[in-house]
Amino acid sequence: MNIVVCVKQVIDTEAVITLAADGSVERAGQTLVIDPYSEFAVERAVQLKEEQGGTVTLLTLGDGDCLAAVRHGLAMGADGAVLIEDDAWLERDAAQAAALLAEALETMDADLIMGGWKSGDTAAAQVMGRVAARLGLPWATMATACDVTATGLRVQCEVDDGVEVVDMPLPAVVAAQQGLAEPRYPSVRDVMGARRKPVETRPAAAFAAAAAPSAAVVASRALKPARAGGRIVEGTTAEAAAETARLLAEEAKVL
Amino acid sequence: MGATPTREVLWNISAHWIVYPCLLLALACAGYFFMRRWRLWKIGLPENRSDQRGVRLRGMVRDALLQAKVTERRGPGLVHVAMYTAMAILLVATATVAAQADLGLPLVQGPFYLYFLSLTVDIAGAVFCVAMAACIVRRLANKGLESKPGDYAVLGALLAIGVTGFLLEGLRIAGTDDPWSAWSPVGDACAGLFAGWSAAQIGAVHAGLWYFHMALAFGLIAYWTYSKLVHVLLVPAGVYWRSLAPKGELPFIDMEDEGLLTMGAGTLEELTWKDLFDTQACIRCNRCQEACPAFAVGKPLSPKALMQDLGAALEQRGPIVYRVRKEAAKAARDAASEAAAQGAGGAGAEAVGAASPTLAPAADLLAAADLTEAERAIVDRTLVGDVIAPEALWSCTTCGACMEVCPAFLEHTPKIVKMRTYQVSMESAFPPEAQATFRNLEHNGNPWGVGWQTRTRWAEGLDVPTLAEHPDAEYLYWPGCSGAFDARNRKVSEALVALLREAGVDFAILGNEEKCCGEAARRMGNEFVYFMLASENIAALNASGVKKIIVQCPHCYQALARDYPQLGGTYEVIHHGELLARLVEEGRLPRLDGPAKAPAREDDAASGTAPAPAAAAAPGTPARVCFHDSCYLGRYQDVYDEPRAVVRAAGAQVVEMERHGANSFCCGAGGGRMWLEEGAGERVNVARTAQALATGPDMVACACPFCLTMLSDGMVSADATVPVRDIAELYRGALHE
Ligand code: SF4
Ligand code: SF4
Repeated sequence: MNIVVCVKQVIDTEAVITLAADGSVERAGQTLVIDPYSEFAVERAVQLKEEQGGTVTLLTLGDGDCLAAVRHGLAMGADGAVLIEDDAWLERDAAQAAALLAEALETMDADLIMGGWKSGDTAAAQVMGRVAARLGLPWATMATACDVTATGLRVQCEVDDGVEVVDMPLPAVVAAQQGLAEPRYPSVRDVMGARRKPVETRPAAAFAAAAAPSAAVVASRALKPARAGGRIVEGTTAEAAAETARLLAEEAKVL
Repeated sequence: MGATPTREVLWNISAHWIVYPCLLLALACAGYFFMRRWRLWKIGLPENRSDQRGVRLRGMVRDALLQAKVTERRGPGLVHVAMYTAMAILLVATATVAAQADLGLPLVQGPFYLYFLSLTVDIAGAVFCVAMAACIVRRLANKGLESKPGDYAVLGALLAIGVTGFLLEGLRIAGTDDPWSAWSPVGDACAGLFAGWSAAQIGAVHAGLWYFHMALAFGLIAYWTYSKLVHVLLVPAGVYWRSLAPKGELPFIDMEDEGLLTMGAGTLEELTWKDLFDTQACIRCNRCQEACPAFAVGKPLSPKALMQDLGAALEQRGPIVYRVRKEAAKAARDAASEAAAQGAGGAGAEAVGAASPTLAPAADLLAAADLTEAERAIVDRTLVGDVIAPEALWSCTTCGACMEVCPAFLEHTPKIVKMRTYQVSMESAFPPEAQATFRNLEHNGNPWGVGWQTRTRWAEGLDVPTLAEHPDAEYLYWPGCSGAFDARNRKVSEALVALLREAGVDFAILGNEEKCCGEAARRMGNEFVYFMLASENIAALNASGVKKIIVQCPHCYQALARDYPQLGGTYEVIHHGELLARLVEEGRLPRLDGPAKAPAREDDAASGTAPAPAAAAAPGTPARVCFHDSCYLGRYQDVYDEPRAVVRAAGAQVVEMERHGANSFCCGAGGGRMWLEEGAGERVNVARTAQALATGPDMVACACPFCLTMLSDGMVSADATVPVRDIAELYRGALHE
């Protein structure tokens, strides 16, 4: 089976972020890591390869700095990678990113396309669905299990208060949720081996989708206003409850 | 008999020449078995243990010949010395008799005969027999020794040799009516057994017994290097070849070497010859096992079993690897000479070059070798997994207690770390919870994974300059991850900063550039992460021209002082316990125990000479403080007195646990265990806390952030309210209350 996993590089989720003058997140000096949701997808893809045979190729939209995430995925067991090199990748919205990825995927002959259901930084949860739509493929999102069956795939998806199990034919798009697979810790042997794996760089300029303007443009960014101080109602439990109900009804007028 | 005391040597023995061919045969057997052992450790990697010959020889004389290390354990140690001395005396006596009989030297006479050959040898023989009997009884009684049939065979044979020796002497005395027999009291008593026997009876029994005695002795010599008696050779050799490197130093792995194919030990032959030698030299004395905190609380680890299991596996695998290598080397030589014979053509010259004896790795040779099914099963056994259980490997705190007590100076911990290095670096096989720690270290340079940009937050409001702000500072203060991120240990940093200020120490911190020292990563086997952290730290330190560093964590101490020099970072590192003691000594910090009091070495409370401390102490000072030695400050850096001096300077009295100083019992956090879950058995920290509580302390003090965490947790588990403090907090508290 030929699996392509879309991988994004993000700022470490524990990082303390600072904002630049325009309100965007300062990336300089930050630890950049493979997006955790992409990583779940890579892990499951590599497991499927180990079970079924085939290849795993990574597909990344980003600049040269993003190679670290790509190398990490290669160390985890992917066989090769394609980088759509685009210095403007951070400014592109989800629709554009999906268009670029889909255009690259058209020539990659994938049986299964995987990725994170959202990313740890922007959390837009748009890209994989849009990729599926552009390619006209079935998709399953928030996947917490994904197995190959005689007719295609059986994917377990997280829905509110439950799970939904879907069967779908291949090719298909599966977007990973936490729990799909526990990412492995590559050994030094794997890390060194990853250095020798092929990474094909394709300039974004060569893609038709690169020319299309962003559908949405960020006009400005601002932090949420600090939370206004709450009010503490004193008294016994009964008194306080009664007073709170009164305040809600009379002052806040929500009851 | 004349006036000169003597005896007829080899009385009643006609064909004593037979002993020489027998001896040769026995020695040949011994040589053969020794050779077989030598081949076993020969398969290991090279390692130089022949430098500093003088130091090595002196150590061997002190600890092997004079038995200094053996007698550190009083009971069995003294019995061992008795056996050893008696055996040596008996050997000299036997050689003397042989010299008179066959070299014609007139030795067996005069006062030397009476005092040495008769009296001393008789006493030595008696001591020897009693010691052997005692050993047999001890083995029968103490199941913890895990005695094997071979142990009894050796002891039984030695005892039989001793007893038959006395019987022979008795028979000779009875048969010759020896006038000097009173000088051989035990033999004389034995002679009483044969009173009334005819000369013919005595002669016949004596001759028979003599040959039996000799057969036993030669049998034992032949069996010598096959049995555990080989320790007579291997233990002194082990002492000679002991590590002279700074304690806890690990082998350098060049992570920048492009040709680096593997690291750590994934097979026995990836250990060094000395590692493999150790497995043969282990005498199963049990001392390491008794010292091991992991074993004590029921973890699946025994350092003795580790040595023994490695040794047993080596006995199976070693000969196969040796043979396969030898065959490959021979094939390579043959190919080379064949190629050379084919003429001086270019191809031939190339082949000669290729045949220089760089052999393929053992793994490849073994894979290609033509092995029987049984041999294949042996070489397929994995080192960690089949030979050493992973649970055992990961239970070790690298506390070093085992190495401290081993009479042969064998090295357990480096082997454990080497195996972990292979497991983590090559197999990615480790307890799952370690993964988060590794990632946190990679991404944020601290084990908790807190954003690296927040490292200096602990110092906010304390007005601590960074090196960038104060580049000329005398000391770099290195709070370490615990001191910077852990809420409890930040208090220690605060106390220390205040004390340094008070003493007028000129210091600065590195700031957010500081990263975890990597000590835990390295001892958990993650050489790669260690290397990344260490090289970044060294780059930062060297760029700022740092020379002197104050650490408050003994693990940082180990990394900065002992690990970093391998990567080009050489600094003068001092632990805050040492520095505070020095500042008190120099009068830059006050003494609260009154200047007259000389610091007592041992347990003040027990010594009885300590003045009542409460009189001099500040009101808030606890009277009895139980000090817990951190393994990496005590055993590894040999710092025992200074932290105690700080406790005393605070006006408190130091009380000691039974296991303190070099024999201290780990808190359970070393070797990266801080970041791992505790598996089977009791928790190490709970056991240590109970030991501390048994001293009835008002406070437990330590000088390591991990110990502080572990013992504080232990107090909670024990439902005890005795406070646990770092010595800096204790001293500062006393100063300001
Ligand atoms: S280093 Fe400590 S924990 Fe490890 S085997 Fe030795 S005594 Fe046991
Ligand atoms: S202390 Fe040394 S000789 Fe004794 S059992 Fe342990 S390793 Fe073997």
